[in-house]
Amino acid sequence: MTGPESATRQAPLDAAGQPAPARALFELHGITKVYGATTALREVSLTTRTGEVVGLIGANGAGKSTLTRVLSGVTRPEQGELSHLGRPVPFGSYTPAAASARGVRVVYQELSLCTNLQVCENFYVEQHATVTGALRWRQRMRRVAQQALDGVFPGHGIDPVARVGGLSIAQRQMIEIARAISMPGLQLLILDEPTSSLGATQTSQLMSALGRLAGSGVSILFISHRLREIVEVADRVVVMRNGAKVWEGPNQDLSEALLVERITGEAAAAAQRAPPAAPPTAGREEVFLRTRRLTTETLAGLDLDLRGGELVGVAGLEGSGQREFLQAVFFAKRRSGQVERGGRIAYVTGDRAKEGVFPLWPILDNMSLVEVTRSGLFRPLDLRRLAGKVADWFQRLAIKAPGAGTPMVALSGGNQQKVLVARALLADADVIVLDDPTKGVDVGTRRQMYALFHEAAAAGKLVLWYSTEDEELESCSRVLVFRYGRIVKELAGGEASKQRIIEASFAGEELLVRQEAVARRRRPQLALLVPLAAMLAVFAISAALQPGVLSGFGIDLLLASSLPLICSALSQMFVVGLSQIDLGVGAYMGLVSVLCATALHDHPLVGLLALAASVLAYAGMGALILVRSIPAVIVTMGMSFVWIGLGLTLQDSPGGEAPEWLVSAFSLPLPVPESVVLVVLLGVAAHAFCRSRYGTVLRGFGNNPVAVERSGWSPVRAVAVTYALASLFAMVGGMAITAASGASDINSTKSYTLLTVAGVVMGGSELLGGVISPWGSIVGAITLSLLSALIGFLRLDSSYVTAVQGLILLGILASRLLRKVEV
Amino acid sequence: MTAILRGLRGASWIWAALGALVMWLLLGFFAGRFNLESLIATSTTAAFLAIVAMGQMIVITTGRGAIDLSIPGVITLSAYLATGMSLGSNARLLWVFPLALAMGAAVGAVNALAVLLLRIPPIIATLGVGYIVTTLILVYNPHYRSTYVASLLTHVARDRLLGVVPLVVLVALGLAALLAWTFRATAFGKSLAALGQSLPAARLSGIDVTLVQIIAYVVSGVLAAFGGVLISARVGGAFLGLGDPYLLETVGSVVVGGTLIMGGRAVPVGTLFGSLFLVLLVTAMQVAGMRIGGQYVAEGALIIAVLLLATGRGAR
Repeated sequence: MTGPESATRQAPLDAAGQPAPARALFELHGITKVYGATTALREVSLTTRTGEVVGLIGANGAGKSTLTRVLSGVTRPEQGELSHLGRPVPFGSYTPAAASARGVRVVYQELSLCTNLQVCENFYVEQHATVTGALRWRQRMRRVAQQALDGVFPGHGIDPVARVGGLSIAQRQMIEIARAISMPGLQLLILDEPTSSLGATQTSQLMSALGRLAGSGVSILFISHRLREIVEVADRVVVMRNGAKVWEGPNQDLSEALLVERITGEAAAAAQRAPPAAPPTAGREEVFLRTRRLTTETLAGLDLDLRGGELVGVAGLEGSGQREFLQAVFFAKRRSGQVERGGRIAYVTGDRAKEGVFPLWPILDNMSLVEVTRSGLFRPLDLRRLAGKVADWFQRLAIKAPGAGTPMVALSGGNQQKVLVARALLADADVIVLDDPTKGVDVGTRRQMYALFHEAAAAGKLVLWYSTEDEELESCSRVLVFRYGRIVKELAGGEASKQRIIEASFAGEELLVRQEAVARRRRPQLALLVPLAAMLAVFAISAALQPGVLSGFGIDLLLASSLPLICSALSQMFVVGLSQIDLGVGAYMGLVSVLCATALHDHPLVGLLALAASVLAYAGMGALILVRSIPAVIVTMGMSFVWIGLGLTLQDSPGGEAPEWLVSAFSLPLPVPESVVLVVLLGVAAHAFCRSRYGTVLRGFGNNPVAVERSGWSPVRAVAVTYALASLFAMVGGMAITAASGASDINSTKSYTLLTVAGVVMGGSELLGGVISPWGSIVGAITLSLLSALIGFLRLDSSYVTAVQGLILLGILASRLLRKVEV
Repeated sequence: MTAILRGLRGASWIWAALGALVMWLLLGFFAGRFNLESLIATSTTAAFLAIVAMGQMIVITTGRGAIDLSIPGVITLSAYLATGMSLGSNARLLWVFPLALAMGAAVGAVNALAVLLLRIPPIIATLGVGYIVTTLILVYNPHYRSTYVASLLTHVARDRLLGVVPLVVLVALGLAALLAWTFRATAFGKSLAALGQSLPAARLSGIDVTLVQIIAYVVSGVLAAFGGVLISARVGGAFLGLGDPYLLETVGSVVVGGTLIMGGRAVPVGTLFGSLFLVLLVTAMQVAGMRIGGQYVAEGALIIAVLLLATGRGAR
């Protein structure tokens, strides 16, 4: 591969062609970062130099990720100093934007692309500073994307205008890397496990690209668990353990084995070693687990026969199907076709924050939950007995807390994990599933847990233990090694050494199904087709019943009457783009209508100011929702009462008078019906905004706000602008109402709220994830208006209109789900 | 240890109770006199609100933005059923009352179906179902012909125990106590709070999260229907839009009472005080001569303000 190349790489050349001396780029000194009870970083110092690749390695929880977050301005440490090119930079002002301005770029482990955007749009979201002008930026970004991908991964086969959501994980990772490398002004590139989903070819392509990049003077921080890559590409290696830097040195005479030693630490490694393998005890008859051709998306026909009394290790490279196996076993019905299980089962996760801890509860409730759920849903619990059991386990595990009433979130990771293990043991489960339970847990606690697991197995239980740390599994009575969703090796107790597990983990290469070949198909062209067809169908039926509908006048009448709904649907669409819903849009439109018929008529200047103020209020409402993370539904619902209240205060009964200019503005003498012109104008405006530079960013924000913020965009601004836009479109609707009726009634517009959501959804926008369609929303709104007209033509009771509309909305959402299931 | 627990739990509803007290004092100040009678009258109004708000609380506790927007529709429909079908007869009430509750349960079940099976966000699902219920009301409305309320219902809704404590207040208190016990000492209560805090963790703890959520929506529907029956007796009939004020007010009572809007923690006692606070607030605004528009503005702003305070305390 690229090993020799990196060894003989030339020092960067300066302008005169002379090797430029490597300069210190970023210097971190004495960095300490504390999260609650855990110290993530302890007095860490690190220097990156121009043209140098630093390999940063360490076990899970060693502090690598925290360190990169400090470097990229995401995390502010409690202590320590930072300097850039020799000048000190205070952490107070070192935001992600500031880091980005200094040329720092991170490729994160979890991908930070907006899946609803095209590849080139994703390039824009990040490299926006390089683009000026409103029109030609797309072509330009397309070129940049193409060149960037060609530069790093020749032969990548990715279309720059493809939507990222339709690409494979490997392709996304490639885009992510290429985008970072092509960043203009790049000085420090941080790669956090960049090769985790790349194939061999792309990995070696990346290695040579990194060599070239370093040759051009960029400083690179390379984090990887694949030590071979580190040895290949790094000039200098930094080893971290438990938040501290434990070793640093040039990449000379380093081997993987040597690095492993440095990572684990000789002494620590010995201490972590589990007790020797215990022979399986005679398990209880009724405790067993059998799988027959267990097949899921990831798993490929597993056949297993396990009994109580065993401690079964589950090993393999991360993501080879181990977790899927554990979950399939846990969630299987007692006797489903593929899984047969005897005894009660409990699951212990190592992902404490995401799927283990109940953050509002103290230890007591957290520990006793599984036992609690064993009882009938409404049968009184014996709280005293529960508390007694919890107290027992609390003592037995020596949990470091004042008592069982201590909030769970106040505990350190290790102690939280003890509680989670106790949750399963307290319930006296027969089959215990351990999903990497020692992740990020200190040595002392680990030892305690090993003993517990052995004890459980010795008591006749079946313990399934998945661990990402192979040496832990040496003590199991047998070890199942996974690769690509299959068990490629089963090691018996005595022979399950770390060495052998690792060897087996790399076996079965031939089982890999190449992901790249099967990029999923997308259906973007169809998006507008379905709502359009629905509209035409309703239109045709209406025309059949009432031929007048077909005339120019008929169309004008229909469109003019649906104008308020079209406007408010577009308004709702922007909010839906943020994955939120505005329950106040109908009321707001009513308020605008009242303002038009009162203030704007009597005192135009005051009226205009009031309308402007309402836009600001909307923007402020959006900002509030974001900053305080309050549910948008409640805030907009509360605001809807404020809008109605204001409307009632201005005008307590229907009435008022529309300003003449407003009325004439909505009835201009045009050759085509004005309603058509207005609808087209609204559509063009909304569409143009969505396609514009900032509109693209906003759509991206609705899909992946974290990524967009990392790229230096202000989330508050994004939300405020979106809500301001929403209010502007709704405002046009409110004006149309007043212009059409010549007066206003605050209570007349409430029913619009549900209709807007229905229209938006009918038009093909997604309620989650930033996929919005302006033309679709317009078509959806027209269809809904047509429907209520149609019900009139059919001489049906108008009472049914709302039910039909409600049913249609639910129906569309339901059918969309079914379609997704099919795909 | 128990002292800490009690302190933590107490903190969440004490504000609503204090707020209600302050409101009552203000009200007395406005009116120029303090009497127990006015408190009893307002607590009666609050009791009706509290009963339906308990359902809202249970749905909100399932977390991730869950909310039941169909409550107003169910209240109105159930009021129509209760008066329109019983025609003032206690004997007919024997089947009309269960029928109304069954209607509430059915609406709740449809909500749950839409949310859990069809994966429609709760806001949309319950809003849509609410519209369908509203249509049922509109369809039923022309056939509706009764302003007679069964005397048994009137008794529960209007009379007082020993001439002092309104029966409906006792009902609300009993309900709050029952729910408080449910959350403290049953697997259902614990499961509900657990899945509101973390759905993945709840699933991995062996909770049947689908069943628990279905029950939550059904209970909310039943309580709304129950409330609707009582409310019809209070107002002496049913009319379109009867339940509408209860949308914001149920959410308001729940939030003011210290229940977390993001789910995972329900405070039944808090909801009780929250209802009392809201009703006192409305009464105070009326006494102070505030117009209806101003009252709406104040109520809407209050809910947002309370949410701001609640999230500010760093609950999550």
